[in-house]
Amino acid sequence: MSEPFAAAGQPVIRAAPRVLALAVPDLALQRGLRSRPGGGPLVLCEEGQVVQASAVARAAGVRPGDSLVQARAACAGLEALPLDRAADHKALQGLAEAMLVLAPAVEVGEEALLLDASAAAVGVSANAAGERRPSPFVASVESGRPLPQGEGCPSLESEARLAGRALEMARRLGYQANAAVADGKGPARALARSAAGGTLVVPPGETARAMAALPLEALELPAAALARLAAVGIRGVGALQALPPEALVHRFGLPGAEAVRLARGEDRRPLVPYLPEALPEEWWDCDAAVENAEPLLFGLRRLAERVAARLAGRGLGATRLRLRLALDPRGEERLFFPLARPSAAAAGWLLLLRERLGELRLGAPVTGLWLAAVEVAEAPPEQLAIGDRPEVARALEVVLSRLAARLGEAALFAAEPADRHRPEAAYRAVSFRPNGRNGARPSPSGRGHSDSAEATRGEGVCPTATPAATPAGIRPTRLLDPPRPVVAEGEGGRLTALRLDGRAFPVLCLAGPERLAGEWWSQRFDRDYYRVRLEGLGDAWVYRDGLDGRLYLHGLFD
Amino acid sequence: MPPRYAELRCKSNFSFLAGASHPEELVDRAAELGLSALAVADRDGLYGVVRAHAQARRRGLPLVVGAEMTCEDLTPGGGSLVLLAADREGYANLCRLVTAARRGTVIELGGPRQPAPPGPPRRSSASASPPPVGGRSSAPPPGEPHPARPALAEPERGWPRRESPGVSLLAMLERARGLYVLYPGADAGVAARLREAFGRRLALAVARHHVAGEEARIAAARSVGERLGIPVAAVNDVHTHERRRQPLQDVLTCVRLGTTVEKAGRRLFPNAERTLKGPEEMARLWRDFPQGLEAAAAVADACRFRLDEIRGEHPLPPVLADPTLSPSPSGRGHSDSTEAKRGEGGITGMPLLRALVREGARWRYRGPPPEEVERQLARELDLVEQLGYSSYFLTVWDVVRFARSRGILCQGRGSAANSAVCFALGITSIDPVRMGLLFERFISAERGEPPDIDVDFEHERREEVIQYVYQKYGRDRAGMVCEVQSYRARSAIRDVGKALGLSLGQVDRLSKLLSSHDDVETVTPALLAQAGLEPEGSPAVRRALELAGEIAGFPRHLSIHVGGFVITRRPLDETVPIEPAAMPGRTVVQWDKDDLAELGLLKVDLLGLGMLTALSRSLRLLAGHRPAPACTAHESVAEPGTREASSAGVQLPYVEQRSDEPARRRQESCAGHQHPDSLAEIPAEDPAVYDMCCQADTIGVFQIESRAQMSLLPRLEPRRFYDLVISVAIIRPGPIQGGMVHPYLRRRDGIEAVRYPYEPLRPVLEKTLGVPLFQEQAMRLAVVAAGFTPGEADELRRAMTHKRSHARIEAMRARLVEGMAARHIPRQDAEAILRQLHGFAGYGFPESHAASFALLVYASAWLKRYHPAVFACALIDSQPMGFYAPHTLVEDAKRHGVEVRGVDACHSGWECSLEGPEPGTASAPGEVPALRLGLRLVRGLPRAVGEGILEARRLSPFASIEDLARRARLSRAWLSRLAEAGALRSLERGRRRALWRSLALSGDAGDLFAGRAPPEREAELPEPSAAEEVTLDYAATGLSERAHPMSLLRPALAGRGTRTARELGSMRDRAAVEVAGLVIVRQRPQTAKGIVFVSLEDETGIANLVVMPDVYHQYRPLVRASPFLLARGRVERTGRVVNVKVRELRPLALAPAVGPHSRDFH
Repeated sequence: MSEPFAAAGQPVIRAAPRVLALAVPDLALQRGLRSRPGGGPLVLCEEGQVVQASAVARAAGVRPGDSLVQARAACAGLEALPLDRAADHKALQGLAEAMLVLAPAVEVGEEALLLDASAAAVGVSANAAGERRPSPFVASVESGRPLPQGEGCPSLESEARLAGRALEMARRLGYQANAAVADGKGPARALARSAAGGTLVVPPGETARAMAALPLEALELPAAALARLAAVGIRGVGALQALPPEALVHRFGLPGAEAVRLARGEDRRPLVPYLPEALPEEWWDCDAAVENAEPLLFGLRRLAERVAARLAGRGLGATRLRLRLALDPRGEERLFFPLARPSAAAAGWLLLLRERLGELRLGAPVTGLWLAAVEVAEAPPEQLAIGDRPEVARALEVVLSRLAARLGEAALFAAEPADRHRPEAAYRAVSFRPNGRNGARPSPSGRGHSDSAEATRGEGVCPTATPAATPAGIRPTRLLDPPRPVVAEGEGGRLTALRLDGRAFPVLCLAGPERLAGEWWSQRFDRDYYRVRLEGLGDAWVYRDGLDGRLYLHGLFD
Repeated sequence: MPPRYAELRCKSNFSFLAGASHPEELVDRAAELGLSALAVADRDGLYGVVRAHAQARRRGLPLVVGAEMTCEDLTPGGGSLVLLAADREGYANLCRLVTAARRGTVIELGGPRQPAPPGPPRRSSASASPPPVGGRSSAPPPGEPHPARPALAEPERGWPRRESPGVSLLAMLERARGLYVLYPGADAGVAARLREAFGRRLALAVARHHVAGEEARIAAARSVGERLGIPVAAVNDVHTHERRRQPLQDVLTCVRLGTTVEKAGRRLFPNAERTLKGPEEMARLWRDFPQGLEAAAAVADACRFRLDEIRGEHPLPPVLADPTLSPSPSGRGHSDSTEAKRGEGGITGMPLLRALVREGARWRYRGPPPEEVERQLARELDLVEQLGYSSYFLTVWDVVRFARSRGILCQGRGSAANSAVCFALGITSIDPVRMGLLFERFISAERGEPPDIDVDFEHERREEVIQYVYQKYGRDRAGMVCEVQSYRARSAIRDVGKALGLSLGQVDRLSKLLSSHDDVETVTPALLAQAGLEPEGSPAVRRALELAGEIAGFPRHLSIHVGGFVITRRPLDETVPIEPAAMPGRTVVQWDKDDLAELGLLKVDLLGLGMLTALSRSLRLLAGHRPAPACTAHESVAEPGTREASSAGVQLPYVEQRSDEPARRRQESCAGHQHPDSLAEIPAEDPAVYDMCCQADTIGVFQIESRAQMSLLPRLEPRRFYDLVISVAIIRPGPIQGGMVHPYLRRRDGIEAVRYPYEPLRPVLEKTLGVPLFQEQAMRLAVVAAGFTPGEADELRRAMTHKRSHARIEAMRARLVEGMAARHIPRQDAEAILRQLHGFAGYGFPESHAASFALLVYASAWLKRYHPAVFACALIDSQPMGFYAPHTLVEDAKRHGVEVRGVDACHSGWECSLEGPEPGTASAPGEVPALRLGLRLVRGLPRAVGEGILEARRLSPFASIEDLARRARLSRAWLSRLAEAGALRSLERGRRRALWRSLALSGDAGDLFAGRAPPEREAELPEPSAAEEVTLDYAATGLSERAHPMSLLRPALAGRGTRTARELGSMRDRAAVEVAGLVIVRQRPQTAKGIVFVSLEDETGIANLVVMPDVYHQYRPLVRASPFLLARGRVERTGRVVNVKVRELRPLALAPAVGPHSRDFH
């Protein structure tokens, strides 16, 4: 425990902070109802069972625990949504971002937000970026209402107003919540979750009394401790408060001590502020609409330096950049820049940016620029070895950028062998890596990864499989997607030529078959592959499809 | 000339998750395709060869026996060789190699294992049943011709089990004789080494599956073959009998690898070519190499061994008499002639058997046996001699004698009870001559089938007997029979669903749609929708159901048969591979009982029976405490002129020992002197016992405690032993499905006249009032009414006892109809007889078996009647067994006036015990004992912890919880467990206070501060309510001695008119009623057409609910899972039998939070 110490070495007994807890009961259900103004019967379900039911559904006899089939039988027109806890948490984060205008620190808990109520009366709050700006709450106080007595100790009235504003803001955003202000975040959260509705403001020092009426479950103790306390007949917080504190510590260790603190309203833990996890984006407004590249490159240099500096400070490098150009009078152009390796070097980025901007033909002047790192990875320090040629990597980045510009991003990937029999699925698309040393993989999609080649080509990906060996058979260097139908020409039962797109290619020799079949569980295939040497075309990989009986050219051996 | 081809490399589904066809399917397909032979070579085992052999014999296809063995050092990464048995010696070597591969040790070369006599008995047999035939209880059994081995002490540790079977190449080379080897590789060095060992009995195997790179391998193998002069045979490495099985093959691969089809990738076969192909197709495939086909056919021709060769190899080792033994079977008499013969150096075989039977008969009949018995014994002995089964009888006798010498209760069951020889040898307890039992049901010369003797032992001590057999005969001559565990619908859906990538939740819901006996076909779209699964929207669900239907019946793994032992004269591992079982100390053979029967190998069933354990415990408790019986004299004196007196003259076998004193003994018994030392001394034919049975007061009584039995007893009104025999036999699927139950009861009640469809059937059916109830009667009925030969009748009997017997019986229908028509049996009667015979296919008892069980029925009923505390104590300590959970047994004991005292660390033993009037004092002779529950009932408490408490308590009583914790070295966790169970009641007032104090004690056992608590202020803890106490009792021990949970709800229930179980008994038929209770049994018998029977227990007794299918479907979740139920319906009364036909069900909302404690059979 790191308690602050006074200069004389005496520990300072820190009072529990005043915390406003905003509990959002049945958050998933509320989220669902928010987008359904009609208010029809709605349930949230998981594994075919109802977890939460709206009032309309409950009125029709639907209960949590019912099977979905039972619920549908009980309630006509019932709509069912799957439970999505990640989305719930995200929604709570969104609410927390909005609450940042009311409090300097907001913690995102489970189905509850915790707002620092201590600073409400001081008159300032901080936004996510750390910039201090006047608090709207303080502004309203200053507009005629009495200030609290005593500096740094907000009055109950102002706390109630803070709670009211928080509830109102939640309501505007579509959520019904319960609020409680109390000493310490644990008690505040327990009181808010147990509140039947509206606002509860517990005066400083009175939290223990307010807690006494709650059931023991409100303390959210570990299940084992809760069961043991129930076994000795302790079912409410009030009964727990009556026990000798040391007795609980003896018996339950840290959870026991924690329970005592919560029950007495002595939770001194600070809030864990929510920091939005966003990738850096910088913008630049042109003074006037720009029609050629040179002024844009000037602005771009500044943007690139800022974004790169922010990334570098976090030890990250961009693997993909996005440049948005605002057009006059409206509209925008978006450009993406894949990088060959994670990089936080602005100079390197500018090579690509200049290349693309030089070739760009815009329909309107540009009024502003936004540059963002939309995909990042950890950028380990790089040390060049003797013989390394960094200029080659830079040249490759230029090539990649050109290819992406000409063919589209989806066409640019590297192929790794995949453990599948079906030839067209026997590889998987991965980010192009010019060499093995810069092998840091892009961050997960939650940190800015978007429509990459992996997403579109991920069918054959097997994350847990061991790296696949090369297929036993020799495979063509070029695979046609889709395979091209060919027609066999023969004589006396012997194949003499294959006709492709109306042109006949004489068959010089033929080997096979290699029989590949399977995947009956999804898209069954059954093919006999032959390696056929065709005059004028070289060695070709041709198969007879066992399902439709036709011949297809699937690849070419170069 | 058409091409010839024999498939030499073929795996069945007995390669366990590696092959996708049954052996029978492979054989059938091979015969259809016209293969010249088929070699079934499963992976490291011979599990499926007997089934394949039987089918091949039926189809006339030569079957080569083999196995694909893992050779650990064939190549650096290991490799496989296909070993095929060319002759008997090769087969023996194959078995030994498989044994070695499973055992994981180098094969011991050398002479046969030396059996040894057992050591001294472990405990006195004072409380056991009659002394063993052939020796004093304290004497060692007869000796062996081999030098003595060390005395039997602790059970052998057995063989180490090896998870990845395999043998070294050296081991293979040492066992090369008589084996033909296929090497599926192309390594010239390996091929050269193999050629040195196997010479001309080696071939290289090549396969063509149209996969990349195989042509190079084929070319390499052919080149090596040409260079070294080794023939190259074409094989197909068959895994399926038809290509359509490939999806199943893929699924099995995924199950084996623990992955899904999506993720398995190239670990699945690339195509479906590993399937059986006919000669023409193979000839086309190998157009460039026809010699490969010829070589394969030649190898098959060279492998001449057929499994039929081991049939008739008389397998049992001889049992020799020990010259030092007393010849008397009982230890009380002797035969001079036998003594003289033994004195000359020992006898064996028939002479020994005849001598033992002669002495046994004198012991059984207390002197010379009656003439008819003598005649029967002579006839049986002649037949045994003629068929050469003397060793078999002697072996079983030896095992039984060993058990008795150790004081282990045992009794033969099944058809062996038809044998007077078995009765004389002490193997069975029923006198078949007096019972008029049919010896031919046991052995018949015409049938030529080995006899089958099943013996029950106390289930908790059966392991001693098993280990005795291993030690006496050696693990290379004795092995337990395996049981192949096959996929059932639920397990099939579970595994297939996971392999197809269904979520765990989906798999769980799918499998829960089925009960343990359901088929996959019973899953309807409506049922799926009910479980939240949409088959139309999910092809994976539909496919999972299809494949699960196909995989059902596939072998999944091996387990040990309940008690089957196969013992052989020559080393057993020359006949069948032996492998260590998962259970330590056990070794099993790779064949199941049907396989053994197919090849005519003898097996002895050493079974465990919980009731024998309970009876043994009861006898020990009686001997130790000699408590006052719970009866008064007038209750139990036999009424003259009861049915017993005028019955058909069947007497209990016990009666022979005291036939001249029944009335006096009965009087004595009621005066309080009923403390039999053995089952044989239990007073016979006691009317009070039958009175109890007539009232269906039979909870805990062997075999007649089920709800169906309890419903029958008031109608059957058993008044004599034979009524119990009928009671045991009549509630079986056979008599129920054959519609025999109600006609029998009506005739018994005199409502319906006794008649015989064909007068000559009178002697067959007279005992059972013209209705066939036993298997023997069904056999005789076929002989008399339809002109079956005894052989045909036996075929009928076998059909009746076979798992899929309905079809086989149907096949005999024409023969039966024709026979009955020839005897002018009216068509209506003939139909009835056919229906009865068809009903027997559902399972029926032989009369001998029912009679053996009836002995235990009577003994247990007598104990319950006179010593309910003793009986309950023994039953609870013998759990798991029987039909009811301990809480029901305790409630029943309380209703019989037994004082039940809770678990107490200061007074309880590990097991339950009997106490005197004062808690903690042992019950003295003549006192009415109280039942003290044992520490074993505290859930999760290890026996070692309990023993630690007892050991510390023996030194001095515990003064406090701290004292207990310190001296018994209890950790806080165990102490808390005891406190929660209320077991600290003598040390602290109230369970909560005890738990509170326990939780304060420091550290774990061995800690410096263990058992000490820091000082603290007194805590005020609320007193628990009665409901809370009961709830905590159930949570910690599964029962409560304080009160029945329902008694706590009674005031509220009585207010709304809910009736008790006892009140139901006095309600009129069809009355509307509401009852409530704790669900103790749920049954959905297959014979009941979807009706569910639920038993609700309250503080007064048990209420029986009948839930019709429509009501069941409406309240399915409640019926299947709710611990308490409130039922509304109508009373259905038939005589004294009362049921409630349910119309509506509700959960009992106010019930204490007691979890499910029912025993469910659905």
